[in-house]
Amino acid sequence: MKNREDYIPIPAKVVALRDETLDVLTLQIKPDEKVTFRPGQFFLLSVFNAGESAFAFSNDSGDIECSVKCCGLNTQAIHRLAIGDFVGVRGPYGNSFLDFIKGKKDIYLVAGGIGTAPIRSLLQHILANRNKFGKVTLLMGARTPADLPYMDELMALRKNKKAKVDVILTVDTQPEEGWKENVGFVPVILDKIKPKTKNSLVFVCGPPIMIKFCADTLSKKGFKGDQIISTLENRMQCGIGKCGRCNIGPVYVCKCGPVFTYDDIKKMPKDM
Amino acid sequence: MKIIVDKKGLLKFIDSIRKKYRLIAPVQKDEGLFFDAVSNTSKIVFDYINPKNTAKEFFFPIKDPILRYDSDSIEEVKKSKENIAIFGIRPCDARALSVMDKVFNWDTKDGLYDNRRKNALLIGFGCNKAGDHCFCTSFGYGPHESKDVDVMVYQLGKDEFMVLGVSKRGVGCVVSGKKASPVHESRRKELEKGIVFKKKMDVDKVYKKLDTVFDSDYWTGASFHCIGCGTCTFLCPSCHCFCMSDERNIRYRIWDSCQFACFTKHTSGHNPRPTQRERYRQRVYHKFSYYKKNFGEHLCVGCGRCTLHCPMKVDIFSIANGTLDINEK
Ligand SMILES: Cc1cc2nc3c(=O)[nH]c(=O)nc-3n(C[C@H](O)[C@H](O)[C@H](O)COP(=O)(O)OP(=O)(O)OC[C@H]3O[C@@H](n4cnc5c(N)ncnc54)[C@H](O)[C@@H]3O)c2cc1C
Ligand code: SF4
Ligand code: SF4
Ligand code: FES
Repeated sequence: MKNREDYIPIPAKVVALRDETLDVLTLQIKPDEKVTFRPGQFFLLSVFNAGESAFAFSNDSGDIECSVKCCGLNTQAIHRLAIGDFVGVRGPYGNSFLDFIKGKKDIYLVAGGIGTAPIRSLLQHILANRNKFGKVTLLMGARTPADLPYMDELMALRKNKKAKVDVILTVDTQPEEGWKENVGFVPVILDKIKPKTKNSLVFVCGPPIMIKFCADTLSKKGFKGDQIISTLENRMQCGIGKCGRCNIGPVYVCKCGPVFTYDDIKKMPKDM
Repeated sequence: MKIIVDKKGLLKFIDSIRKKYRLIAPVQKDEGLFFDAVSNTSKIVFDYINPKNTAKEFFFPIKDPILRYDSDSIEEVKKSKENIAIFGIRPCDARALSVMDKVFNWDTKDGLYDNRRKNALLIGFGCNKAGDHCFCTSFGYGPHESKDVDVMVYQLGKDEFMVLGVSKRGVGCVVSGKKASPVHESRRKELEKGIVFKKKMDVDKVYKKLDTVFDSDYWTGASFHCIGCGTCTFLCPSCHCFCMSDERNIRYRIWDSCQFACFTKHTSGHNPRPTQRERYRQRVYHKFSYYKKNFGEHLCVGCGRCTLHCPMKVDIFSIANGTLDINEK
């Protein structure tokens, strides 16, 4: 990455769009200069005249992909983008999930809602380097079946015997019909699948409340704080430790994170 | 080299600076004393504690264009070639700039700020009296500190000033004059010693104490009168928080404030700092704890402006110092 000063984004074009759910859109973006990034890192996406927002990379390499939940001014503008539209990207910023993986580990990927985006990036990395990892389990949950992103990919992954990824899906409440997967909140299902502590790491991304209950469940099962790895998504503006917005105590999430172990998170002041 | 000049000589020196720099100095306006551009040096005010605004806005403007965009291009806003000189900056404001340099150069450089900083000339003006809310000496420097400026000026008598070049650039622009003698230097020391401060805090003790009182009820009472107007942050010489905004093909960086309710509000609606208790606490911690943890220096320089101009008379000195009296476990 060129060391960009002055908050100047790299010009980029939207090259593909895919609706994941009613309110989540996946974008593929081609920047004028190559951007290389690692799972867990984030970038700032500019839609000019609207503004700039932070998003996790949702893929592992190549053009930038991100999945955006429509919820505010910028994200609405992003959802109105068409293929060929002009945008800007800044990044990559922050640390990576990979910084926390030492040696060959069994991996549990636990994702809720839009938290699935950074997990997808890590999953792609694992698939591309499958022999460097042990057993891989993906647990993904959402409110309803219609809120589960990346369904086509996950169904294909399940069928792909070579990938050797156990895909577990759940929704919060029993849907009317046709649902053959789990029903129940993510932490409950996580408890049920009996994750093994030995030589394993759990990556949990999702709403703060889900992260908390998953961490509680895992701690009860004997997982140590440094085996549970998560991301914090504080409101950000600059992404480079200057605008003073994203700190929890002395920790600037944009610079020291966004990936933290549960041990790190527990040590932070209650300013979350 | 230290030289002695009368007021006429000092004004002549300041005027000579104008050839190479845009001159900023304290001037009287309807709303009070302000740092502002000066074209006539006779307008410069010499008798003041501190202007209302601070020197930071000349390096980190309230609203600073970052880039221009249109439907298919992004263009950097050209950096200004104009260099500024600030006359009359007090040691506290000068120190605030040195302190802010650290965050604006934290791994990534902030070119907007750095560019103005590196080309500027700071002409400090030592204080001969302290304001009611000044507490600079708490931070290990004082009203005659010269290390953060290029040229330092002290007023030794009604019509007698001592001018000293500090940095290389500063030494280069001090014109020759009558050399100062040890008598002048001891006169300066006397004046410095004679300054009476009403406030002094043990900032190291406060720093340690803050590690233990984050969850205290103290913050509810301490922030009770704060209405979250943000005045304190905007008038602070070292508050550096900002947001960005796109307006008619220009993206600006604009001062923001941790005292505003939506500063940290997540798009989900969740706010890590939901009330003024958390927001004011953040300000105190940022000034007296966090910044030092990250950069080795406190982010407060003790200029007293936030207390002086707060509409609710919220006093950061008493609040930070008051943590030392918290007796809970
Ligand atoms: C490191 C990091 C990674 C992230 N990764 C992702 C990701 O992969 N995918 C993703 O989707 N998000 C991600 N986010 C969150 C994303 O940055 C925010 O959702 C986005 O910035 C929201 O911007 P906005 O302009 O749409 O919201 P804003 O308009 O800025 O919202 C600001 C506030 O205004 C309110 N508001 C604004 N508009 C409305 C409205 N129309 N109705 C109700 N309230 C409104 C919101 O409640 C919010 O509190 C990430 C954040 C971080 C920090
Ligand atoms: S402390 Fe005073 S100046 Fe600062 S936000 Fe509160 S009321 Fe406004
Ligand atoms: S916090 Fe208050 S006293 Fe400290 S530097 Fe800022 S304005 Fe001055
Ligand atoms: S996003 Fe600006 S300091 Fe972290």
